[in-house]
Amino acid sequence: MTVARSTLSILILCGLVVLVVHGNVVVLAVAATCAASIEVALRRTIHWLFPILLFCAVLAFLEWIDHRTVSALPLKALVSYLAIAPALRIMPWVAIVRSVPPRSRSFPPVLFLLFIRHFTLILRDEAMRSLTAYRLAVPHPFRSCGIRALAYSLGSFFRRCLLRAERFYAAQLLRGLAE
Amino acid sequence: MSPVLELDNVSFSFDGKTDVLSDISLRIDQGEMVGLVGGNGAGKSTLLWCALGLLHHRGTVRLFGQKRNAESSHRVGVVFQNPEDQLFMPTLLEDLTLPLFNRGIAREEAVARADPALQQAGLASLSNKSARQLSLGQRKRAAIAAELVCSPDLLILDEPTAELDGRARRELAALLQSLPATTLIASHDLEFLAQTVECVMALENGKLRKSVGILQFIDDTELQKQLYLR
Repeated sequence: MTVARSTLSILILCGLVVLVVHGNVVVLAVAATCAASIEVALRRTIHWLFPILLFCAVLAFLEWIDHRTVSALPLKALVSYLAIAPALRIMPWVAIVRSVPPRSRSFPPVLFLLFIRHFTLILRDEAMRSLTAYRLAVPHPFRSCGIRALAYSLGSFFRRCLLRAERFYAAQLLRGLAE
Repeated sequence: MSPVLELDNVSFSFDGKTDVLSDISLRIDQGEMVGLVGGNGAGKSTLLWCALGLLHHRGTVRLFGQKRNAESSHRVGVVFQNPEDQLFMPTLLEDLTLPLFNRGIAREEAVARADPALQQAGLASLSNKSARQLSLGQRKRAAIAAELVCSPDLLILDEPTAELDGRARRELAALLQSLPATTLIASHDLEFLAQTVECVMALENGKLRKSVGILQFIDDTELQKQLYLR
């Protein structure tokens, strides 16, 4: 079971790299739709998708403001999230960490993946917190005050994520992991 | 008593204009349990970050009688306000053994050292759970256990009781009372400090206002009001 789960998650991650490097917009869109459909079917909810869709929309909007075109970057961000989240969830972390010798060359990549997993969870927690606060505070999301509140909410989301990333780095630095 | 932590005229400013910390000098000796108190924004956490070398400050910080270096920093354990800043491995056991691996200790020995730390923190039965599966009180104790495993000579805790309920605070206080290490606790939870420290240093607007025994501080309600603790 451990081998099967490891293989499946590595295949998903490798597939993601190929998609992001070589995939065109159509392929990326199909991949995103398929991945999102599977996740929605598994979770039986859809609200978790809104923060990442919002993030991609803001990214596309910023690109459009900057040079009046939108690249495949927002779509790549969406596909990356949709692939990384299940891949990291399937990965048998305990077995992997215990099977890799701590001083071996394989250990730093495993630690790196654990950092990514931790940051994914931080992003998810903070996104859900911001979204909940926004929904409670704004009764009419499509009026001008709702849009302004959304902008503030996004700003605070990024600020909180940066702060938590900074604290996490400081803690690991003090634990000697950056040496 | 040999000094464990010494700060000489430490000042710090985020913008280069307004000092957040201003000429702080203090000394903590071996075996002392000291509280750092002050209202929100008084500079408690900033002072800790300066003492740990995480912020570029003016003035001198000495750890164990020498200028702060990698060797002396290894003797310091730090528990952050949010345990999730420290614990990220898939199980608690892995969280505790990771810094030991990093110091070149073999897995068997690391696990043997992690077990007593988990038992001391009352988490032995939860060693195969992830920190995210624990309650906040358990996570705080796990973060302390993750530092205890390296046998620190100085343990620094930033707001350890933030968001904890009464039972979790009592369990945390009992754990801290059982530790042999010199301890510095930044908090504005006076009830908790009364159970854990011998003296307090009061910070106000980035300045060290007073250093007194904890009982004297608890009795001085006027000073507590001035520090926005009451």
